[in-house]
Order: sequence, then C-alpha cells, then structure tokens
Amino acid sequence: MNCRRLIAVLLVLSLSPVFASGAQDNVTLGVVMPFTGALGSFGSDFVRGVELAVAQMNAELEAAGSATRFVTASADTEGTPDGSARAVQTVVQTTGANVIVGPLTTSEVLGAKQYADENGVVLVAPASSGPAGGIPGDNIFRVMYPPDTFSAKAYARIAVTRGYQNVAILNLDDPYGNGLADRFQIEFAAAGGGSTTRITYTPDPPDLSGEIARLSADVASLSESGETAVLCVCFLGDAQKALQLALVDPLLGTVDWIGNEAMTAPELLEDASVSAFLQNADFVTVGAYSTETPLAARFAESFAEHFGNPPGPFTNYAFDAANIAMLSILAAGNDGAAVKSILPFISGHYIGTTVQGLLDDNGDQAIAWYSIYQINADGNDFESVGLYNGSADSLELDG
Amino acid sequence: MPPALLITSLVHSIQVGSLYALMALGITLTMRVIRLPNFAHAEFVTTGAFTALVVSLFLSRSPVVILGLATLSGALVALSSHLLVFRPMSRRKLSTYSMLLVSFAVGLILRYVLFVLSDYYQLFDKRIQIPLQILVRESYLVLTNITFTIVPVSIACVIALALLLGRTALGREMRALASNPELAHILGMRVERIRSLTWLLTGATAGLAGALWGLYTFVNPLLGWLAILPVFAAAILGGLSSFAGTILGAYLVAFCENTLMQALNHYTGLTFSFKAAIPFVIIILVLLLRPQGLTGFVRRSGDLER
Amino acid sequence: MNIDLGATLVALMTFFGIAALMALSLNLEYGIAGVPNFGQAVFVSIGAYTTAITYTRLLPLLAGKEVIWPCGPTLGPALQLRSEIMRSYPGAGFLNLAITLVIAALVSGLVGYFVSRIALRLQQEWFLALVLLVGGETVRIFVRSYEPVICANNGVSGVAQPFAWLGNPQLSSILFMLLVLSVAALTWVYCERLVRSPFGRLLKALRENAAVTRSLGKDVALARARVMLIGSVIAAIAGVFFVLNTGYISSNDFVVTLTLDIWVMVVLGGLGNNRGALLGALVITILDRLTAIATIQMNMSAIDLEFNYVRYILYGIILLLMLRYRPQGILPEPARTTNAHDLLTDPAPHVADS
Repeated sequence: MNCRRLIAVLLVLSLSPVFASGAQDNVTLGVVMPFTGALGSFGSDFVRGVELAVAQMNAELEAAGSATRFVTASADTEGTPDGSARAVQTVVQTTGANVIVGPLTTSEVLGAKQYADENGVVLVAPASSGPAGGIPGDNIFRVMYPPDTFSAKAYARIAVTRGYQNVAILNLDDPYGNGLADRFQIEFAAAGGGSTTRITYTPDPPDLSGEIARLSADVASLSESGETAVLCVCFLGDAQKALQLALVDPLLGTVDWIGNEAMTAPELLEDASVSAFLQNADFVTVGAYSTETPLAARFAESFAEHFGNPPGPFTNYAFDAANIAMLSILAAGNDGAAVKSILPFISGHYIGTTVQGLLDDNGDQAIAWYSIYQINADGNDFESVGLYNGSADSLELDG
Repeated sequence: MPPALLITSLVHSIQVGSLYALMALGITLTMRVIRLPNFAHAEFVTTGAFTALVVSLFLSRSPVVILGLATLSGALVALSSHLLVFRPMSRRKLSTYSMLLVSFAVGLILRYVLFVLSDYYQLFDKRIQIPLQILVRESYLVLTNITFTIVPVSIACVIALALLLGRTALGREMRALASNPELAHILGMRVERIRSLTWLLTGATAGLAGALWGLYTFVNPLLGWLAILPVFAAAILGGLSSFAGTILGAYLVAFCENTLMQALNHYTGLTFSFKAAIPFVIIILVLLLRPQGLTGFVRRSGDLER
Repeated sequence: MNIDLGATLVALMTFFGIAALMALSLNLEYGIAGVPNFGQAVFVSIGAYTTAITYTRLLPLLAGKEVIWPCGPTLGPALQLRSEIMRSYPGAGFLNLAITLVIAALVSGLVGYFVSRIALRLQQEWFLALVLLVGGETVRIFVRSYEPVICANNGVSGVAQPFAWLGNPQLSSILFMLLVLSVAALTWVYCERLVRSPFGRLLKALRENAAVTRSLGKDVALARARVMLIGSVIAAIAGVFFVLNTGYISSNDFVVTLTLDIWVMVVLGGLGNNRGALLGALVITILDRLTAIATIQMNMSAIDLEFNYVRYILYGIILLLMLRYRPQGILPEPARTTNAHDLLTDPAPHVADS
C-alpha cells in the first residue's frame, strides 16, 4: 500500500540524522520561531542568528577539549499562539530539549507559557516586548529587547515634542499591539497630550479598507481640535497594506505618521509612492538600539561570512539569546529548573551585541535603549536621528 | 454616517463585488456542470495572482500581457487538475463529499507548492508592478487606475461568459449537461470535451480574477483561500444555479462586508473583525427564509437551469 | 540526534484519543445517519470555549479565590492565578474539569439538536452542508471578535491539564493520556452499541432512503436531531481535551481545515464503520506527528527547503492516493449490514460517471 510505503520513507528520513552524530555529548537547544506566515522571514533570520552562535560555541568547545556540543532542533509556530504551543510541545516531546530560544512575538510567548511552566522548560525569547508577558517567577525570560512599558514612553515623548495634540492609533489586536497602544494612551495623557482614538485590526487581515476609511474619519474629527498624527502599531506586511490604502485617501496624506519598530524596514520604502508618502508625513519610528559597538560589527562580519548575506533586523538579539541560553546550560547543566535559576545571573553579566542583558524581576530586559529613526535623504532606507534612554526617560534628537 | 466613509466604502463594495462575481461564476459553473463544490477554485485564483506578479516583475508591465498570461495560467492549472486528478477520481464513483475532499487536497497541494515557490524566490506579499495612479479626485471620491481596471474587466468577462452560455452551441451543451447528464450522454454529446472546456473556462476566469485581486491588494499564497468562503456565500445566495442571482449575490456580499460594516461600526461601534461574519449571517437568514436562494427573484437567459 | 521515543509516543496517543473522539462523532452523524455535518469545528469549539469560560471564571471560585478579568491589562495576573490554583488545588481542578465536561456536553448537544431542527427546513442536502460550514465560520468570527469569551483573538492561555499539580511532567502526561484514551474507548463502545441498537438501524434506514423511512411512520426529523445531539456531545468532549492538551485556547484552531481534517479521518478509515473511524484517526495522527518530527529533523540537517510547507503537500498527496486506491476507506462498512452506500446518490448530487 502506498500509504505505508510513504510512512516508511518518512520514518527513515526522520530517523536518519540519528546515525549521523558522533561520540560527543550532544545538548539540544530548541528553537521555536515562525517560519511560515506573515512573520516567516523574521523566523528564518533568527534561526541563522542562533545557528551562528551555536557554530561559534561548538568551535570554542572543541578547541577547549570539551566533549559538549550543541545541536539545534527547530519548529515552526506559524506566527500564532496555538501554533507556538504546539511547536514547543513537539520540540520538547520529540527531542527532549529543556531550553528553547524563542518564540518571537508576545502572543506566541503567552501561547507556549503554560506548557513551558508545567514541564519545566525554559523559554529565552529575544524579541517579545508586550507588557502582558511581564510575569514574575515564570519560566520565560525576555532577554535583550526591553518591554514596551519603556517604548510607550518614547512614543509619547516624541508625540509631545513634535507638538501633536491628538493621536489616531491603528494597532494590531494582539497582546503586543494592545499592550503598546494601552501604555501609549496612558503615557501620552500623562505627558500632557490631548485626545486619542483607537482602531484595532485582527492579525493577518486580508484587507484593511474598512479600518483605513475609519482611520481617515477619526483623523478628520481629531483635526478639528488641533494638530493630529497617526500612530501605526503594525507588522510590516499589514503596514504595507495600510499604506497602500492611505495613499489614495484624501486626508491621511495631510497628517504626520509615527510607526513602530517593525515599520523601520527598508522594504517599506521599496514602493516609490509609499516612500514619498512617508517622507511627506515626516515619518518617525522607534526601533532597536543601533549604536555600532565593535561587538556588533564583529557579529555582522561573521554572520556575512557564514551565510553570505548581512543579518536581518533583530537577528543579533537571537544570537545573544542563544549565547545566554548556552552559557546557562554550560554553567548549570541541561536541566530546566537549574537553567531557570541561573539564567538571570548569566544574562545580567552578559554583554551582548548592543547592550548588557540585565533582567528585572519579571525576567525581562531591564536596560532599555532605543534609536529613533527617520527616512534618509534618498528615501530608500532609515537612519537613526536620535536616542531614547528608557531608564532615565530622556529623549535626544539630533539637529 | 460621514459622506467620506459612505463614498469610500461604496467604491470598495463595487470593486470587491465585481471580483467576487467573477470568482463565484466559476464556482457556480463547476457546481452545475461538473457537480463539484470546488474548493481548489481558491488556488486557481491564487495561481493567476502569482502569474501576474511574476510576469509584472520579470517580463512585462503591460496590463494586457499581465492579465492575459494570468488568465492562461488559471486555465492551464484547472485543466491539468481535471485531467490528472478530477477525471480519474470521478471514474472511481466517489460520493460528492469524497470529491469535495479531493478538491480540498488538490487545493492544499497547489497552495503549498505556491508557498514553497514564493519562499524560495522571496515573493511573499509583493505587489503586482502596475504603478498606482489617481485618475479622479472629486472631494471624497478618489478613483484609481486599479478601480478602472478591475471593474470594467470583471464586468466584461461576466457578460462574455453569460453570452457564451446563453447564445452559443457550447453554452447550450453545457446547460444540457448541467440539467441532465444521462440524457446528454444518450443524445451523443461529447461529454468529456464539454467537461474539459468547462474546466478551462472556470480556470480562466479564476486566473483573471486572481490577477485583478492581486492588483487590488498584495499577492500571497493565501489570497484565494481567504476569499473562498465569501465567494461560496455569493454563489449560495444565487442559489448555485443562476448567473444573475450569483452576480447579485456577489455584490450583496461585498456591500455587506464594506458599506454595511462601515455603517455598523459608525452607529454601533461594532469592530471590523466582525466584517467577514456579516455576509454569512445574511446567507443563513436567506437560506432559512428562502431555502431555494435568491434565484426565485431573478431568472435570465444566462441561467444554467431552466 | 536523540529522539525521545517515550514522550513522542505518549503525545501521539493523546492526540490519537482526541482525534478518535472527533472521528467517532462525525462517523455517527454522517457515516451512520447521513447528516453531512460540515460544522464539526463549531461543536468541537463549543467544548473549547466552555473550557475557557470555566477555567477563567469558575476555577478561582472553586478554589475560594477572587476572579480576575482574564483579558487586557489583567491578562498576566489572571494567568498566574490559574497556574497557581492548578498547582496547589488539585480538587478544584478536577471538579472544574468535571463541570466543564458537563456544561460543554449540554450546550453542544442542545446546539446540535436545534441546528438540526432548524436546518431541516433546507430542501437540498447541499445547502445543509454549506450552512453548517458557513455557520461554523460565523461562530468563530464572533468569538474571535467578542472579548468576553476567549479574550477575542488574544485567546486564553494557561489551561493546565488536570494532573499538572503532580509536578512530574512525565507522569502527568501519561495520566492525561490514559484519561483521554479511556474516554475515547468508552465512547467507542457506546457508538458500537448504538449502531447495533434499533435506533442505529433506524438511522441507517434514514441514510439510505429518508422518504421510505418516513412512510413507515418514523419521525425522521427527530431521529436526525437525536443523532446530531449525540454527535455534538462527543465533539464537545473532544474539544475540552483538545485545549487541555495544548494548554491554549484560540479561535484559530477551529477553522474549516479542522472540519475537513475530521472528514478526511472518517472517509479514509471507512464511512459507517466505527473501527474505520478509529483507524482513520490513527493514520492521520501518525501522519501529522511523523511530518512534524520529520520537519524538526529536516530543519536540523540544514536542508534548505521549507519542510513546513512540504508536509502539507505530502499530506495532500497521500490523501489523494488513498481516495484513489481505497475510495471506500481502509475498513469499509461491513456489507452484511448494508450495501447501500452506493445508492446514497440520490439526495446528494453524485459525481457523474463518464
């Protein structure tokens, strides 16, 4: 029967790497990321960051005469919380991994949380920032990228500094988008801002025409009481869809736009009319801290050498997260509870590609630096125009 | 409701309605002539969209070439699915529900082949390279070259299809096959040939619809799959038999999703995530009140069953 | 590379138990009684949404704590409270699970009953199938947009399985597997007895020819409604275990694809045969797990092909091959009870032969 034969082939395929490994002491490092779906390209880049860290670590371990080697086992979250729960489950159940790098977004982190806590699996998430994920005492550590309680302040400071009285918000309806928008509304009011309106959109929207028409109507009514800006808390693909519709809107081209870190992407500017629209809207974003340290330069160099192309956005965070995870395993053994106990100590003493990984009581990154970005003169990329220091709540804009 | 919202949403309704009509006609045609509720139709649409994208990226930016090749690709994919899968399968005398699963499997395979290809060649969420131009700007009314492509081309295609079915020998044979396959067989019609032509025709309309849909938004492998349920909704509203009913159903579904949704949001604060549910609620109500669909109201020369 | 065979097997059998419940439910409704339920996902989801509501609202009360609103800014604290209760109040956990199962079964059964009563107004069987399909999607969109049920599209996480308090992941997952498997086994025994009972014979008669059955003085509508009630109860129970197993409740799981997956299990195994349904569920679960494992291994062996996509292509091809070479399923319905599936063509338009 064909089915049986196919299953047999699959079995052989799935078991074949068993025979490939040598006599070393292999430790499996799980990687759970979205490889498919709207965030698929992030996931693929992140895995490369992890693979680079593993390759470097293995080379050093070999040179030092250690028998320990790290191997990765990666599974796809499909970018959804339920997919993330299943992916963590599959990796743990089939490979026995105790420490996992990932997942990407806050909703994915929350999706996998129950299984991780219940089974003593440690998640080291390098890019999740939604305030809802800040839970003390759990098995989730959100290293390197600070929670949005900080970035919300940065957006509010920018809005007030630029003299916007009102802000019309378009945000993704998930723990990340809602968390950031909620915090922004609080911080904006506290900083003396005027009214805000909120439109949320469902993840993976096939079409945003209704939302954008509504956004335009909101801008119209807010503009009556003072200068208004649009704040878009969107994933890149959704932002592209939204902007394509905003291009032909009679009103949305007349106000300023603020974007989140996912919109700090040159892909957004590939379309010449979108680039012109955003330049005209004095587009500003708050994104990852960009200061080039020698360490970051070395990472970019070895990444390019290893994979033949430069690292994508945030890939260095995945690299750092993998290093923190591996160092913790080397220090305390491949055991969930032990790693959970020692990871904050290791992370706090780890200097990453951009920043020191000190963690707060929630297991979240505690040192928060952001770069402020605008579109460059050529209109084809973003350039850093300022800095926001979350711990001191200070905003510095160049020029 | 502010006039800006009303006008914008009406423009969207007409645009989306035209696309739904084009897709729903293909569904109705396969349903009647082949007797298959074809879920793979979604992927014929997506194939058309991807062909349009690839052509516009690497070959030509002329709308005629782009739309023409997309139409051709849809037709070819549909015909080859028929020859490779649906025809051999229908010889096995599977029940309709098994055939539905077959169409689901064909769609699944096509969808993920497109996923693999677009992953390999980095084609996710790209736009078909026809630059956007604003042609009309009258206070709240903004019309682009995209609107002026989608609406006339869809309507022309729908009319051509109606004429083909109503006025030509092939159309008569298809209708005969739809209403009584046994008789068609006995009368010596070349049933196989008619079936193949039906697949070719539905595939072509699907491919064209995909290219137009891609012009309207972005191209990704889920494009057709995400549209298939509203399209089925439109076809059911039309009673799955009448052309005029299907077209009416398509515009009605699009109107619900855009203008009615916008009005509900404005007056009751209903969030836009309810958007997709509104036409479904209406279908359920229509079917419960008028189990034969909307067909009872309209019957025209393009009908597949009389 | 180390594959943890034991844990893989436990996971596989848990998945199988849940899939078996879903397949038995559809086999009863369509395989035995001929009601084309294309809204299976809704009935499964009723179990899931009930679980969401009881675990967020009832569980804290059972443990004598104050209820925290599970969505929005208090999402984190509410999640923590659930985990804490599940860890330290096993009694509350079990009681909550029992109440969840009862409520889910009741709600789903009633919905199934009334849907069937209302949907009988539809003249064509096709419309019934499509109304159920579309109705399922409508319910899903509603839940995903209306916050109080499962926090809209944020979903509800932290739904621990009932043995989590043991603090031993291996042991608790084995116990959970045994629980699921025994519920599935009991359901199977029940379905077998039902099929052999006079009611089962009535259902089959109904499937073969509703008009004749009606002329014999049987209440066709009531029989269909009853079978929908039973099937919906089973589906809802499957839904409860489904979300307990994942630990997460999201409306994303209850899409048309889930319904089609269940159909695939039943058609693959053999319509009208309970053992066939079980076998179909097993084959699909194994296929799903194997491709998931293969994906991980492929990712590890650095083959630059996105196997996450390839697995769906494989799934489609296997499905086509099965339908091509075993169209009656792996275990067809035994001919001694009926040969009439071939005659089932009447209400549903049959694919015309060439």
